Amino acid sequence: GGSSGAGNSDGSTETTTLRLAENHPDDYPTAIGDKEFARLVEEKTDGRYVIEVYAGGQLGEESEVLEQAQLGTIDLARVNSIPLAQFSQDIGVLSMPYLFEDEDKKWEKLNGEVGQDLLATLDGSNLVGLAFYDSGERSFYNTKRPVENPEDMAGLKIRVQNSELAIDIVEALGASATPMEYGEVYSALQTGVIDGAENNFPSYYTSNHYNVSQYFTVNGYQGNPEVLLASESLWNDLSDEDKEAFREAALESVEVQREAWAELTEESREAVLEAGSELVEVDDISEWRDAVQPVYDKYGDQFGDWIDRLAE
Amino acid sequence: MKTLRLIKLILDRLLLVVSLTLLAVMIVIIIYQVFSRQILNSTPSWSEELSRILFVWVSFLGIAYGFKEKLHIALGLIVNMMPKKVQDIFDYFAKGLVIFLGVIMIYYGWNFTTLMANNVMPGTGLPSSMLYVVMPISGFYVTLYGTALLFKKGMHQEFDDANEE
Amino acid sequence: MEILILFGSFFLLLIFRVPIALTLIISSLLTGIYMGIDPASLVQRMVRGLDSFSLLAIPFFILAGEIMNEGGISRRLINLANVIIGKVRGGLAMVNVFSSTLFGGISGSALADTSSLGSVLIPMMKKQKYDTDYSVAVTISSSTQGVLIPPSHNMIIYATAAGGVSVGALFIGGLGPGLLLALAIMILTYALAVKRNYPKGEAVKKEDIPKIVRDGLLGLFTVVIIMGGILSGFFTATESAAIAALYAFIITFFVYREIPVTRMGVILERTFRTLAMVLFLIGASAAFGWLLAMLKVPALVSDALLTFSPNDAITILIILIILLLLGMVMDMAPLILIVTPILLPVATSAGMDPVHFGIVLMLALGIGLVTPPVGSILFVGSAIGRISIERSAKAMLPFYAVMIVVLLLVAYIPELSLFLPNLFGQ
Ligand code: NA
Ligand code: NA
Repeated sequence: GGSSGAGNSDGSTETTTLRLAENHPDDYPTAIGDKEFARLVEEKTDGRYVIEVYAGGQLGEESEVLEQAQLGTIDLARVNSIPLAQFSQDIGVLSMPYLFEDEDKKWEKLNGEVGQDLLATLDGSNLVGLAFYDSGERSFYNTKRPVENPEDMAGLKIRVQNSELAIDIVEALGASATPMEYGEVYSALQTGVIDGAENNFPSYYTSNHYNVSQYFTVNGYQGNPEVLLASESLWNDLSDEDKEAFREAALESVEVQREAWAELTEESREAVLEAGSELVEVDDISEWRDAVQPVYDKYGDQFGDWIDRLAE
Repeated sequence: MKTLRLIKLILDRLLLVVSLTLLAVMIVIIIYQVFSRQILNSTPSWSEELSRILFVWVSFLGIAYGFKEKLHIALGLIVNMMPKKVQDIFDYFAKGLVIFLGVIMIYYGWNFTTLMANNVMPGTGLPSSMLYVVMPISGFYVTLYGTALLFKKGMHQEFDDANEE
Repeated sequence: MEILILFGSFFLLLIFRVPIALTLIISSLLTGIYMGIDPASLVQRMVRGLDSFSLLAIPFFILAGEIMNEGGISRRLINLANVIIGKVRGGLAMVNVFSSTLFGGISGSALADTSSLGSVLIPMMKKQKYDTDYSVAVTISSSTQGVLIPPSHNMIIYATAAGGVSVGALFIGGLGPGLLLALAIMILTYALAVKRNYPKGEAVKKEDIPKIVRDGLLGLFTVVIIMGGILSGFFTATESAAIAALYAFIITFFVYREIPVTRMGVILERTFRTLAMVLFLIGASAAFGWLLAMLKVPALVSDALLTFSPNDAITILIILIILLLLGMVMDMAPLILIVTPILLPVATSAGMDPVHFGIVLMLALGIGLVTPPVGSILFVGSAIGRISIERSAKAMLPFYAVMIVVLLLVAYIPELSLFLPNLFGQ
């Protein structure tokens, strides 16, 4: 990597310190995963590689960190899969609604061959994908009423991330999509500029959106995973054994990260329930699946092969 | 010499006209965005990103313009107490650094711009290079004005006529 | 070693009278090259440091201020202040303080306040036999309200440097401390005026009052648009700034109608000049701050300060002293950008809310604008009054004392800053 200390190609035992950028706080599940990854790498390389985690977005936002990783200034990074779609359109498939049958299937695929193949589509962008981390499933919440089935979404103004696919999903459900910066959502919910938004339990809780938007429908419609990646310039410096060690460490750290995620989700869920949020459980997810069919009609051609491979 | 001066005059004029135009367009875009969000009830996906790009452009062209117009503030506490001749030496040193910065902006700015040619910005779909290409452009002007400063006295504004913060 | 190169080259270039923004970027480049970091990374940091929607509010606030100024807002605010407060002892001095409070609601810049109000009021005060040094001191001390009373572009710079602090909360939070500062300066101004037996103001003709009030209030409606827009969630800070600029445009060219629309070219150019200065600093500081993070300097400083300090109150006092000392030798915008990443973690671990810290930072660095040896407002005010900086600074002594008392109150009573933001759920 481009950081302190020399490489180890001459077989010496010198230590190379690498920087890993993480935009969540130090105790967040992704950061816990990063640290486990760091521990495993150090173990597997007999201390030749030490990884320092820069949590809390100290080294910049995700898109900035990605550019630094492309340059090789940042050796490793943990980012969401959404910004990666600008380097590999294929990775955009992970934003498709109800892409996996269930959690088990999802992680079987992401940790398996398809997952690695999908990460390999980053080739040519100076980035090397190592593994996927969990960030749960996103669901809808609103200020107006308990939403039990897709028909109840009609007419609600829902904040979405600024992307065409995000807009299409919400509109397929009959609601009206409002792209808006995340930081503005709280006051927009409070003042009625929008009626609802969508996110996972931990974000719903830590953003305090539950204070101003009490109806949370547990319909987990989308689950963009996080991605742990390396810069290509680090990658090219690694010996084949070390590459293997990094990959193994990444995949092995997924379990610890997912446990931390499950714990946080449970904590947040209890906290919002205690604060008076009304959780609407969805018994029959198939009507939601059916409702987003227009999205599959529209993006089917673009993501077709990947959809088949991930769903099989 | 006369043609050289004419070329510089045109370049000066171009910098100011382009900068002020971009500034004005940026203002209009944001006002349009408010109008669109509040009245038409839909937020265009390109407006915010485009205005940010324009803002970065205005900022970087401003760096160069600031050197030309001696706008960038410095701390004169110690050097101001020295004889004028010695002050000039310090000024030459600072002018050298201006040129150094200009060259860095041209070289590394251009490298980075080409590296970012395949990165797409989500809102407008433009390549990220559109954001970064202002670095070498501004770098060219910084180098030009750094060199021009070598032929002028001083490089700082006097506080008496400062009416900006 | 890296830290030594970064700070060593920074301070060396700074005392060599290299422009501050250039100092920041050159010392970052030198350190980066030493660390084996691709200089393109620092180039990227400069761009990305500026690539922010909240920063876009800055050109609009500056533009709104420039339009209003060109259209003659200063005179109208002075007239309005005169109607309200002009008849007391030292009337014109009181008008000076109060019109700065009003001006603060339109402009985010204390320097613009001094130069535009000061160049009208200082000659008027001299004519009415006020001492020149007193006139200058009243002008410059009162202009510091501008950094606290919304809008304030320095607060936007702080919000960006702090990462994710709400501009709306800072704006509304600054109102209380800003008015407290106004009140404190007014009391001192009045006490001195009584002691020195300065004249009362002249009465305003009754029939003129409605027009004066209407003209002044039309201008002041800017702050209502900005705060109303942000607090209701109708506009973001940037959008409200854009609307404020549009409003200033309409009021100036269609209501006041003192200048032709063709003046917009000059106004835009002036806006660009101010921007050029501020934005280079922001970009260069982004590169510098990024290296600080890489080298873990904030954590080092924070640990050192916290081990050294026995309790929170003393930690806060140390922060205040550091800020006042730095403010004496450097300008406000670069200091905000440099010290925020370093001192904010210290402040929060001493129990300060980031909004509260931001407001304390504004006031402390605002005081730095009027203190020697480097204080841009002190310089401009003295230049307008045509007296030496030493004479102004001497006349400022009682004002410094009052401002520091206000600073201590604001620092140790968080409710002064946080009451309004909490009330509005910001
Ligand atoms: Na203000
Ligand atoms: Na004043």
